[in-house]
Amino acid sequence: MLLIKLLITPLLIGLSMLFTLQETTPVAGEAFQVDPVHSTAIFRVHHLGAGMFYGRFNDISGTITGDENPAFDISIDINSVDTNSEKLDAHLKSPDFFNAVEFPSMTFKSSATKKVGDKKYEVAGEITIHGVTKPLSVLISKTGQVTGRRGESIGFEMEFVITRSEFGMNYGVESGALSDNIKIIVALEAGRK
Amino acid sequence: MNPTDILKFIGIPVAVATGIMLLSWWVLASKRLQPLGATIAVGVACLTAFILQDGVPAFPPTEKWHWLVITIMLVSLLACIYPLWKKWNELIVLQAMIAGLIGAIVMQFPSQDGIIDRFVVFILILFACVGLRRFTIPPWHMFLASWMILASLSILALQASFAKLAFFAGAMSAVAAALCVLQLVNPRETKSVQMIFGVFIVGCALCGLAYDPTHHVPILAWFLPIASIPLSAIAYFLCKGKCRAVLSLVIITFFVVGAVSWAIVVAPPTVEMWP
Repeated sequence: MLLIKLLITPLLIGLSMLFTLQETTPVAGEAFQVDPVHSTAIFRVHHLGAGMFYGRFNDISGTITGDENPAFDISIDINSVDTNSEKLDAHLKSPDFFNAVEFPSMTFKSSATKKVGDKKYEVAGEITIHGVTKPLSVLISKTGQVTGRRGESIGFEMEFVITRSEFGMNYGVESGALSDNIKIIVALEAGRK
Repeated sequence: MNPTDILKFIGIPVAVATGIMLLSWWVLASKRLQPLGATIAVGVACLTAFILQDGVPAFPPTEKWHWLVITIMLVSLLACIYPLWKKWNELIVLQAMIAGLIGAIVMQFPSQDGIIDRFVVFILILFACVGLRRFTIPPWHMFLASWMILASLSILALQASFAKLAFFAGAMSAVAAALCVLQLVNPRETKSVQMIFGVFIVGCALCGLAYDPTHHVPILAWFLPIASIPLSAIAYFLCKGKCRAVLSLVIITFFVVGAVSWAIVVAPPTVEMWP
């Protein structure tokens, strides 16, 4: 009887510890933090009905939560807009476009994620630009996931089109100087220790 | 910026103001109601200019700079009421104080919502409105002064990369120019319209400053056109004879040219802005 107790007690303690570890383990659920250096957001606008003009935002932040069905909470600093022209950057930050003084960031917060293929997800959520929030459904590709000396890193890429006048940014639309539709490409790299 | 935009954003408000003013020559013939012509013309032209830029303003506005047009509408309504009151003409300072109070309460741009900021807005409007009222002797003088000052603010807004404000100020500058010509052709009573221009001038300067956080235009340059109003009014008041009208305009010219030149000189070399 004593022998049975001696055998069962450590087993029960071990099992309880195992269950405790499984419940509290932070590894799988811990959010990935977006790496602003290795993440990129670029936009494309049709200029004068002629050339395609590209610009970028240099400061991206946010979190990606969950491995199977990732949830995204991304913020882009409008003041980090970069078109390789100081004057153009200033104009994009002005109330003619983003009004960075009043609306310093644009955000995307996902609400539902559905896996639609190998490393492909259909993510629904809300995008907020210029103080206007609209629903957005976007196809996101997982570009990789590795564990190295910098910890665990994960990458995603998405591409979508917005109609800027729906967000109250109508400058140059009517005259055809700048297209109403803007293509946005966001490539994210995020990590967790 | 292309000729079509200029024609649309500036030409239409000018046509609206000119049309209303010409109509008022027949409809508002009595001397007491004459000031309503210019007041309605300027108020409606201002609303037209804004709608052409950014659509019908929402209430409350979605962007703080839209408070500018709402303030102008309130002041325009006030300016329409004054001529109906017999003693309105004697209460220049009171009119300006009420306009200043409206501006200080309603017109709150980013980073300008402190008590001291509100007081500064009140004082600036008070000085601008009283100063411009001085110019209503002769009446065309006030329109000419507003024309020059708003033209300079339009250029400053362009330098600050705020094209909508530049077009808005430019449109109102052109409206002032058109009304100046009409005033020379057919002199009319235009007393309370100075309140609209006074509030608009102060509003444009403060709006441009608020949305130029990196100060592409020097802070002081925004205030030089406003400062020219009371200074030229003082010169007008102190000087005697026919030269005082010219002297006061020279002072305004000096300040607005100074502000524009300063803004252009300090601006970084650049390629063209978005068209």
